[in-house]
This record gives sequence, structure tokens and C-alpha cells, in this order.
Amino acid sequence: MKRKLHQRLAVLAILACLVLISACGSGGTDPSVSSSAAVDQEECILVGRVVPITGPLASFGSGTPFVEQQAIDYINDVLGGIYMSDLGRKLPIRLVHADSESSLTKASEAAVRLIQEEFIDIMVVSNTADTVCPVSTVCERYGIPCISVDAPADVWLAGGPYTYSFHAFFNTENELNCFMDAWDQLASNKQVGLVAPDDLEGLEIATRLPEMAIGRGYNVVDPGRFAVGAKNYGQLIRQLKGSGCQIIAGVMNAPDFAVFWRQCAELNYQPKISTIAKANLFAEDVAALGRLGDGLITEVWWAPDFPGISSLTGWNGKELADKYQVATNLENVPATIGYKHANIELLYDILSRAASVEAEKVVAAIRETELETLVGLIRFDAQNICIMPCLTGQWSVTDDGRAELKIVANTQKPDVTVNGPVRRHFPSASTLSGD
Amino acid sequence: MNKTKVTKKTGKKILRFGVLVVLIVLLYVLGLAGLFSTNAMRILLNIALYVTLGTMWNLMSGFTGMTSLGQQAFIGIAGYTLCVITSTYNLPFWIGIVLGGLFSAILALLMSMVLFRMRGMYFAIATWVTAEALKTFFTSWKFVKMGAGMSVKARPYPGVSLIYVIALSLSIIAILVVYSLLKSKTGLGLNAMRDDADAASSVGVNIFRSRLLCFVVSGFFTGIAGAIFYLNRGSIFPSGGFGTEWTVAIVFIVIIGGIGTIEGPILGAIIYVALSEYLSKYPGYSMIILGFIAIVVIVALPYGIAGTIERKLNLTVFSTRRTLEG
Repeated sequence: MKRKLHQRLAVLAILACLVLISACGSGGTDPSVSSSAAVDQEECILVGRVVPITGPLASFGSGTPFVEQQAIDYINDVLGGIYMSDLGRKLPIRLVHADSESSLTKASEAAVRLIQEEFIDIMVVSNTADTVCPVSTVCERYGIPCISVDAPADVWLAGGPYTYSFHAFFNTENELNCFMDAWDQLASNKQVGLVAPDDLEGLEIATRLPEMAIGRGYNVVDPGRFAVGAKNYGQLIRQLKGSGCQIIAGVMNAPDFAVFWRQCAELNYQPKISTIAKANLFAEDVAALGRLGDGLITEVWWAPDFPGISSLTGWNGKELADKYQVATNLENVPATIGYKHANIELLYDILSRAASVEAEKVVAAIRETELETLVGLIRFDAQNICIMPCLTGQWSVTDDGRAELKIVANTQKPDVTVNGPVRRHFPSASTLSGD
Repeated sequence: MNKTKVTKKTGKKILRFGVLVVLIVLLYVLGLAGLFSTNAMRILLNIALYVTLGTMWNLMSGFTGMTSLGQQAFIGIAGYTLCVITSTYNLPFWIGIVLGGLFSAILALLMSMVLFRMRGMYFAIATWVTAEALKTFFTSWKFVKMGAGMSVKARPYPGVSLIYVIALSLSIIAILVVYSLLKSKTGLGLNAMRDDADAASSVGVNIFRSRLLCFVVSGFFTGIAGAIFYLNRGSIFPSGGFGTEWTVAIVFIVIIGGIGTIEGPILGAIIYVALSEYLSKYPGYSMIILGFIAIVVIVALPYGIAGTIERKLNLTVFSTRRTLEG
């Protein structure tokens, strides 16, 4: 009797599960397909895009597919598509995107699926090494041209050499130099604590930081690597505090940094400057820290008021930001959208010159790229990379809880206006001994 | 009367094996003739690899009572071996696959020296910890490019159809090896050991040797499957190669399909891959739904799908049951 009841319950549960799956399925269009449904799959150039929509890197994925689709709509609707020499006419572009779930493995799987299931002609990818690196290597495996941005160039290069993949972004050296520009502005005991997990970017920074910091007169204390997603940083913080580190530098995901930074406050560890890459890029993440977010330093690779005009649409950064804000109803414009737009600028320029989707012709066109984009000049070198500049920004958290970014150093891009000098973190709090 | 029964039984057996042989031949012919689309081939390739992984975990947990949560250690080692062999030493990919299996078997042998002192959950946790330790080690080992991952540099790169044929052959060999092992005298000892290791030992079953055999065989085949997986994928990263997602998938497959049955991992792998493919459109929900299905099946069908079919309908293709004659 009891057993029969169990079985009926199980059947009901399975039915509920099927209903749930069906409900997911009936929720409008297939989420991986771009909203530009008018474009027929048979009559278009298929562009794949892997993006972290869910998981700890979701902030990076914000804006996709809107930004890319906006530029693609411009190509299709205003420019009439891209001329294909073998067909003798223009073809529209269709974007197909897939979620990496912020995981290296899932990013690879998503890329394979886009290649083998959707039969994409070309891949565009961005949003951290955890997304870009696995997707680029999958594209190499299947011989699909891949244009990527938004991941440290040397981290990306470590997975090479590449034939079909090309990448444009700053490298770890530029990133650390922009942090050191901030260190130089404040008096400190020059003790730098390294905060780096055991992921792609963490290992690269841990390798490069000591030699670069020593070259500029700083001493680095390295407490060792930790796992991504760690929940207790007590031992690490005690080591940094015990070594008298008035500066911290490294890389973390935003959710991990929030845990780390709150524990620093709980343990009364208050470095003068926090320069943690990747963690403090987005206003929402900084604002969520409340007063603890005030004074945090971040790398800045694009902002709406940066100079630069889109080679595709002719928009400047402000115009792109306005369109993004109107469409999304979001107050903050993330740094990522400039490069997302530039990625489609590159795509249009390359495919227009190649006039074909044949991999060899596309790769040849990428090699000859020399394009002035919204984010600056892009020209790939023999290793398939283009190193871009990086600036230093500092967050101010206002009394009403909003986070505002100010540029505090522009060494690598002097045409960007500096808003003021670096402020010390925790201006009203007690400081470490040795001040 | 008895003779008719025996003839009927034999007839059914021949029919089942006949259907199975036809199915296998079809899978080979359609794959080699290029009649499957690349997408269908990718799905079938994944099923074949998960059948191997599930079958090997089932050999340990389902038939021997050694529940391992660290199968990803073998997958990661073999994946990295393939990358090093093809990328660093420029050798053919098949050497990488074979060496991947061998290194995994050696790892199993080394692990057994410490891990076989433990039983039950202690053994399971120790295997998991070993895999995690390997992940940390590979993340900071310069020779394998640390966390930056490595690529497979096979020249020429094998097509998906060739990799599919290799994976299909591996899954068939894995099933046959486990079936033969369980039908042998050693298999009888393994089942006795699973039910009560002390009792089995008291009647002459060499516990250590039996466990070692299963562990090494499982490590070898799991490693080969891992190497083939990364041959198809093209690159490996420590977080993926040594990721716990592997164990989650393998356990799901065997539990859903039917632990302690040969057919279980086959059914489980088909269901898992089909669900993964469908649910990939709903990132974030996929693991919740897979977990929910696993719980429902565990509650309703504690013997899994194949186990329940075997019990209710007395239907089995690869029976490892032994009956007294006479």
C-alpha cells in the first residue's frame, strides 16, 4: 500500500517535472537565439557568442545580447548586411548566444554546441579569461574564426599558439601598471599583499606582480593561492595584517571579493589602497558593499566619456551609453559594453574585407585588420593579439548609496581626463602601524 | 515441458542478443558512412563515453561496494597526458590516449596503497580529496601551463566520426570486460565482498586483490574515456578535468539507470545526455531539474530503471545472476 503510494507520488513528481520543463520551453523564443528572428537561418551569416549570463561572472554578461544585437541590427537594417563575393549579394547577420554559466567547462560545451548544433560561421566572445580562453581553444579545434576581447591578453595567449583566434585587450602588465600608478600617489610603507586565487588570471598576476612591484620599489607579501569561491579568508587576512601590508593587489570575482572585504573589516584589517582586478568593475557590486566600497581602486578600460567613435555606427561613447540606458532602463553603464560594441565593429570590418565566411579568407582578413574603433586602434600582431591601454579608477560611494567612478591616473591613455588624485581608503578609520 | 521452457528461454536470449548486435552494427555503419549529422554524432559520442564512465563506476560501487567520488582524477590525468603527448612531444594522439589510460591505471595502483585501508564513506571522501589535490597541483604546475590549460595538437586532427567510432568501441569493450569479470569466479567473489566483505574474506575471497583489480580496471577505462572526451573537446583546464561535475554526472547516470546492473549505465547515460542537451537551453535550472529527477527516481525506483525492469518484468540482456542447476 505504502509502496503504491510512493510510486503514485513519484509519477506525479515526474509529471510536475515534465510540466516544469515544458513551461521553460514555452517561455517565448529559444533563449539562445537572437531577437532578430526575421533573419532566416538559411540566408544569413551565423555569429556565435558565448557569454556568462548566470553565475559569479554574470555582471560581465550584462548588456549581452542587447549591445551586440543593436550593432548587428544596424548592419542588417541600415547597411543591408555584408557582401559575400561567392553569392554576389549581401547577407544579413544573425547572432546566436549561449550561456557559459561562468564556468570554463560550460563555456567549452556552449562553444561546441554553437559550432556543431547551430553551425555558426564565426565566433565573437568576451567577458574574462574563464569565458574567452575555453571558447578560443574550441574554435581552434574546429577551425572556426574567433574574435575575442575583454580578458587579459597574456592569459589568453598562454593557451596558444592560435591560428583561428584573435584577441584585443590589455595585458597583465598594463593592468598592474595602472594599479601601481595609484600606489605611487599615496604615502605608504610599500608593503603589498598579494590576493590571488588559483584560476587563470590569479596565477598570471601572482607570477607577474612580484617582479613588477620590486622594479617600482615595492615589496610583495605572497600568502599563496586560494580556491575560487572560498568562504573563509581569515588566515589570508591575518597574514596580510601581520606583514603590515598597507596595499593589497590581485584579482578576484566580485562575489568572492565581497566576502573577503567584509572579513577584512571584521578582522579590523584596513589597507590604505585596495587594487583588486575584476572585483570592482561594476557600480552595482561596489554599491552593494555600502561604505566599505568607498575608495576602492579598479582598472578601467572604457567609459562613456572616453574619446573614440564607432567605425560602424559613428556613435561616440555617450551615444552608445544613452541608447543602452534607454533600452535597459539601467542607471549604470558598465565598462564592458564599449568592447562588446567594438567586437561587432571588428566583425563587420573583417567580414566586409573577407567578403566570405570561409575560415582561411576570414583569418587572412583578420591579420590585415587596422581599425579605429570606439575603444581605440585595433591591429593584431604575429601572435594574434592587440594590447590595449588600461586606466586607473577609484570609486566613491555617496551618502544615498550610489557608486561613482573617477579616473585617478591616465598614464596609458593620456587623452582621457583625470578627475582627481587617489583618495586613501577608509579615510576616517584607524590605520596600520608604521604609518 | 522443461525442455520447451529451456528452448523458449534460449530463444529469447538469442533474440535479445540479435537485436543488440544489429543495433551495434547500425551504430557503426551509420557513423562510418557519415549518415549521422555532426550534432547527432556529438550526442552519440557523449552517450558512448558516459556509458564507459558509468559502467566503470558501477563496477566499483554497484558490484564491489567501493564508492568512489574521485573518478575525475583519472579523467584529468588522462586528459592532460593526451595534451602533453600531442602538444609538448608532438606524438600521435592514439599514443596519448593509451598512455592516458596507463597513467590512470598507475594512479589507481598508487592510490590503492593508501585508500584501501579505508572503507565506505571514508574511502569515498578520500578519493574525492585525492582528485581535489590533483586539481590544485595541476593548477600550479608550470609543465602543464598551470591554470591556463592545455590544447590537444593532433596533426591531422581526427574527425568527429573517427572519435565517435573510438568512443563506441571503448564502451562496448568496457561492457564486455565488466560482464566477463562478473561472470568469472572473481565476479562471484566481488559480489560476496560487496554484500559482506568480512564474510567473503572468511570463505577465501582475496579482498585486497579483488578490490585492486576493480580499481585499476576502472581507472584504466575511465582514463581512456577521459582522453577521448578531451580529444573531441580540444583543450583541458584543471577546473574542468578534475571537476566534481564528472562525479555528479556519473553517479546520476548509474543511480537513474540502475546500480548493480550492466544495463543501468547504458540507460542512465542515454537519459543523462538527452536531458543535458535539452536542459542546456535553461542554464541555472538544469542542475535543479536533474537533481529533482534523481531524488524522484531514488524514492520511487530504488533499483533504478534497469533494476526495476529486471525485478518487475524479469527482463534483462546482460544477466550476471547465478542460478543453481540440477
